[in-house]
Amino acid sequence: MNVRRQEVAAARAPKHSAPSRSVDPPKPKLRVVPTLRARRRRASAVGLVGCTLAFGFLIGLTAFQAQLAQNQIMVDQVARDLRAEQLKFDHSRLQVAELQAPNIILARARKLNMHPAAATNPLSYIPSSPEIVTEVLIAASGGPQVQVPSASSTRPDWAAYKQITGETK
Amino acid sequence: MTSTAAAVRLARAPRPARTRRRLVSVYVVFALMFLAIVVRVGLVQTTQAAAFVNDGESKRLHTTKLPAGRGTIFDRSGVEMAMTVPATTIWADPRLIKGEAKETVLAQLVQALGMDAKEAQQLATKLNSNTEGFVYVRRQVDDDLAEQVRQLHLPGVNFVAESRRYTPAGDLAVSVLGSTDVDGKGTSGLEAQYNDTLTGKAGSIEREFDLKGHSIPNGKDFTTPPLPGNDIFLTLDSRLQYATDRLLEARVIETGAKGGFVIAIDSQTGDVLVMSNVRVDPGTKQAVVSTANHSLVDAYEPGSVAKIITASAALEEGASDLEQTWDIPRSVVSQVDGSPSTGFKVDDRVITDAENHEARQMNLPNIIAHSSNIGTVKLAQAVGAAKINDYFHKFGFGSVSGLGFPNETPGLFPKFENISKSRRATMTFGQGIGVTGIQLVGAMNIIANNGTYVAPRLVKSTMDLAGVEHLSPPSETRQVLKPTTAAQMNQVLQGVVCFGTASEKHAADINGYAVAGKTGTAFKAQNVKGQADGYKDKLGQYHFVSSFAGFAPAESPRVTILVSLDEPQGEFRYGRSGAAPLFAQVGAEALRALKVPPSPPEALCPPSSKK
Repeated sequence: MNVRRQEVAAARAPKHSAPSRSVDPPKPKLRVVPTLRARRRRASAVGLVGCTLAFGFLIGLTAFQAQLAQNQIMVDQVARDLRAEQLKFDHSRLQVAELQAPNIILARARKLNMHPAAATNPLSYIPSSPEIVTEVLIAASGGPQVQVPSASSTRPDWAAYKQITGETK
Repeated sequence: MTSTAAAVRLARAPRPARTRRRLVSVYVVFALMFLAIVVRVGLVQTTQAAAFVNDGESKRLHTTKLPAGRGTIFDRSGVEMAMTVPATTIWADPRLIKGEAKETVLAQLVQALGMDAKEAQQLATKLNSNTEGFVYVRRQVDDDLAEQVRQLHLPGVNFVAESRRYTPAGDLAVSVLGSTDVDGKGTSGLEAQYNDTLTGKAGSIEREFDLKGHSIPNGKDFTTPPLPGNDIFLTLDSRLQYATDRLLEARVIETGAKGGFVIAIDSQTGDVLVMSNVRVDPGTKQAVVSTANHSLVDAYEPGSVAKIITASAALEEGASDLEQTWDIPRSVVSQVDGSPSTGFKVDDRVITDAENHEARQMNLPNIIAHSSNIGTVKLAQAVGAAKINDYFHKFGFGSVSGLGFPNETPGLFPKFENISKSRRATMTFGQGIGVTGIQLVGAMNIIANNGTYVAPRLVKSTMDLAGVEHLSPPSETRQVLKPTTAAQMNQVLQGVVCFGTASEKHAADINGYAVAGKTGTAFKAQNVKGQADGYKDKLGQYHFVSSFAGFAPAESPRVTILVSLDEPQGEFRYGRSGAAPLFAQVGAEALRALKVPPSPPEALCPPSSKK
């Protein structure tokens, strides 16, 4: 049994042949390697740039944060100003409302020695000029919507009324 | 050299087992501690993370409520009648006021806020509480006053911005506007009726603050802006309202009345221009503007003003014309106790006129001009009781006006089937029914408005946040009388002013304008137990309501006015002497405010007509 195994192993073993002289073995590519000093200098430069960038980034970040904080203070200030202006507006509105109030107007007028008229006597229009009357009435009422009293509408005929009611006065 | 070598040998000697065990123990302890830290960090970062975040936020995040301004109520010209203004509420945390400081704080607050003894006592009780962390010192004070208190730098006293309802013109139209509670919710009047329209939606600011109170940059900042309520524009004229209030106050005092009200409406649109309510303060005996709207929530017997309905029905139904005469029997009221003795009998009741007279003939204009009860009953009998009942309803009696005003009463108008014959008779001249002022002025306005009923209106429009005005729908209208009937009644009512009950002393005259109207002197129900006559009080005395309803200019009506005085005394108890002069004053103011041109001379009462 052992003999057989040895035969098989021998058969599977690679056969060593003599190296061929026509094929050169591959050579590693050669490159110029910087000197140790140069390598150190470059590493230092990279480190310096990195540190500078990091420092700059941190400075920038700080500045950005400072700007944000400053803006936030401004926002707070604007909010306060807004509230103050709103209050001022409300107070002004209140003052206007009070000045428009009839009791205030009357009180001021009395201070100025103004008094309501004891009686009002409206001017009568001239019956003979209906066109002028119409024009004046429209102007007095501030627009053309005025209903000019017509002679025939609901004006009572007092003579007839007296006949009906028997009034003698 | 030899000793050094020995020392090296000793150092390199194998460690004893005990040392190794110690090291292992230390490793295990540190490992467990590290594991515990890792577990704790894990828990903090996972399951407990939300709780910690919330806890942190609750300390940094402050939510400020932004109160929504309640809408403003304007008059018809855009003058503010009720508005919301900024105010400050002062509150205290009694737990932060230690020991003797409490008395100092209390004394300074009492002095600064001008508190009376009762208020001071209440505040002292609050401040002495050791459990309460929040007590109101005073709500909604003026900012100036709050600033004075702030300058005192009292410990435990704090301030919060709020708003309060304010009426720039004081008590002007307060019975119409109503009121709000301290939280700005409408509790009466238009403030309650239009509470949903006027109420805005509160907003809030959520922002992160540091310990010094500065907002944190990049922190949370959520703002929900408040949405103010809508504004309301009324039909009231604030200046006319003010003038009427003063005139009514003076008239109430002059006549010795308990109070009174005046309503003026635009004859064509039904817009309520004035709604004035005045009562006499029993304590001071001064007439003051009432907070209750008696013209809408109280019903009273209108008296002779209601005769316009009976007369209109008679003309409309053809039961009478202007010339037809009616036999009016002799009418005498006993001078002993005022009980009717001779008159016109209806069922179990004797109807009499206000003034004694012999039997006579009267036509419809005369019946109305001289306010004959008997004549009115005869007109009603000619029309028919059922139809008269219908006309009362058509004129708006027995149902609310449509204003939607809180607690408005429909009045007292029993079902026709339940009304006795005698009461059907008295109803025709305004006794035995209850109406509101707004119903009565609406009824009179039917004649002014060519026979068309136009429902009264108090709100002209609303304005939303965008400034868009939403006009209220036009008032409901219905034709009640033919225009010719209304024109006839117009003339009849001018006769009342020129020749009739209102002609005495030029009672209802408005200088330069033709006026139509009707007086009313109504018994006021007393309903005293044991008194057979429901109109007599305990002492057997009658009480009266004096009214005058009319419109001007009669030839082209612009304003319809009702004046009603509650229990005027002595000679002022009649409509002609109590209410009519006030009608003339208010009418003059209204016509001037509306810039109505004077009537043509031919339309005015003939000079010889006046008594």
